[in-house]
Formats: sequence, structure tokens, C-alpha cells
Amino acid sequence: MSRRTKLLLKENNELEKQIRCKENQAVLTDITVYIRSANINPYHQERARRDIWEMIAAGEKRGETAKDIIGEDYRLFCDSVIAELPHLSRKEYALSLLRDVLLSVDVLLAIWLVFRGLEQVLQGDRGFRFTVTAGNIVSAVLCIAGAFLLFHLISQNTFRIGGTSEKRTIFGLFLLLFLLMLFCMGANAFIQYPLFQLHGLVAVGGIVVLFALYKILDVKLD
Amino acid sequence: MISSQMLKGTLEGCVLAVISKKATYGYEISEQLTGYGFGKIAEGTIYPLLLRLEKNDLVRATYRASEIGPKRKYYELTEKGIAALKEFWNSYCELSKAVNALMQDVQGGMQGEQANEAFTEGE
Repeated sequence: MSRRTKLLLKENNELEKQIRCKENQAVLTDITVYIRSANINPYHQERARRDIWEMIAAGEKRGETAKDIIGEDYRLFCDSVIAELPHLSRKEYALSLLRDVLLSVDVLLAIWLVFRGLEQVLQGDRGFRFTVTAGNIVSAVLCIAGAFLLFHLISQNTFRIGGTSEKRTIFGLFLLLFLLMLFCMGANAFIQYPLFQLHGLVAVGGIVVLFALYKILDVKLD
Repeated sequence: MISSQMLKGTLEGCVLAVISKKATYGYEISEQLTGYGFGKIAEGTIYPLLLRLEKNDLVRATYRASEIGPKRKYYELTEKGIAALKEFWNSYCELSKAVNALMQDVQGGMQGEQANEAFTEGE
């Protein structure tokens, strides 16, 4: 994320707190979540978020609700806004996906290393050589794919989740989350086929390199 | 009330026309359109349209302070926007002339038929 986007994001987060009505706040959050899932670069997402915040904040001062300002169908409104914002090209989209995957792998690798390191320390082993199993890889792939799927489902259903009659959607999402966690833990625990060995320092180096690559892509993409 | 389908084709030109009077913001545009008899048009309908006009370089946006709250995004026409507005007027005048001619013809025919019916009944 570039400096201009970071600044705008920070400002928008602060401004969002100025909305007093809980209902309007919830609508703005739903709109933000929905727009985040669109194929638009973060800077344009934040600019649209600022404009919509302005509309709602000014409307609130006039005593209007989000429904009066935006209309009945928030999703339709968001779709019309998204349609008018510049979309990412295929290359940009692929690179932004790669950026998110790099960060996810980095976080998972760090968590894995901390747990395996603690395990070895507790066992009194000072070798810091760790065995990567097929279960670790399957679990990581499931974990990342599941996280992407959940994000997509939550953002696409954000207006339905906000409604009181959508208990089935919420139940479905929780069930999916539960099943994903179950499969991830199951793969880790039961697929013990060793693939290769990794020294702790190499793993730390990997974490640093992945993070650096993520940062380079993140700045370049905006 | 004007149907939303009918409005769709003309709203963009009408928004350009409102902006051509003076630099203005989303809420004021929606209020002015209501004042002109377009019915209640939510700011949420106007905003994506303004984004499109901005994307196509027909309007430019600037932020200005407001007395009642957050900074407002004001829109004004660009050179390209002025040309697009002229084009809209011409197309709309042509369409309006054609529709009026058709209406007069149809209504004239209907009035003639009604007069004939009244005459026959009178006999």
C-alpha cells in the first residue's frame, strides 16, 4: 500500500468514528467491506469510501438516515459505484493475488516456526532442524484457500449478514469456518509423511524474504 | 412520476445541465432535480453518475469547506463536459420534437374520433 493510500485509510478510519447513528455506521461498514472485495485498487476504494462517508455524515447532520441518502438497495448502489471505478488489469489482479498469498504464507510460516521451535525447546533439542510434512503443506494450502473463500463469501453477503432474517447465512459461514479448521488440523495431525528438513535460520530467512517481496509488490501495486 | 427507465437516458445530461449553472455538490444536484419536477432522486443515484462523468473528464471535482459539516466535493464542467451538454441538448431537442409530433398526431386522431362519435350519438 502506498503512502497516499495509507494516509487516506487512516483518515477514513478516524472519520468513520464521527458517524453518530449506529445504523448509519453499520451501513458504512457493510459498504466498505463490499467495496473491498471488488477488483479495484486500494486507493480508489478509499477515495470512494471517503465520498460515501461525506454523503452519510452530511446527511446525518440534516437528520437523514443512510436509506434516505443512498436509497433502499445498498448492494445496487455499491455495484453502480464499483462499475464506475477503474478496475485492475489481469496482470495487476494476478500480482495483487500473489501479494496476498505471500503475506498469508509468511504469517503461516512464522506461526509454524514459533510452535515448532517451542516444541523443540521444551523437548530439550537444540538442533533447530524442523521436518516439513505433507500435512503441513496440505494444511497451509487449505488454510489460505479457506481464508480467501471466507473473505469472498463474507464480503459478498455483507448486506445479508447485517439483516436480522439472515441467520442461515451466518450459520453457513460458521459451519464452513468450523469445517475448514477441522480439515486443517486433521491434515496437520494425520498426514505425517516427511517431505524435507529445514533449519530454523533458513525458515527465518524465508520469512524475511517473503515479507520483503510482499512489501515490494504492495508498494508497486498502488 | 417519471419512470426510472425513462430517467436513465436523460439523467446524465440533466446533471450536466445543473452543474453548468454553477459548481455544485451531490446533495444540491439531487435537490435541484427534485425542484424541477424529476421526483425524489436519492444522492446515492447521483453519486455513481458523477463518478462516471468524472471518469470521462466531463466534470472535475474539488473539495471545499462546508458550514454544516465535512468538506464537500464540488463538481464543475470541463471543456469536454460543456461540449457533451451541447450534444445532449441537441439530441434531446430532436427526441422531444419527434415525440411531440407523434403525440400531436395520435392525440389529434383520437380527438377527431371522439368528435365523430359525439356527432353520431347527437344525430
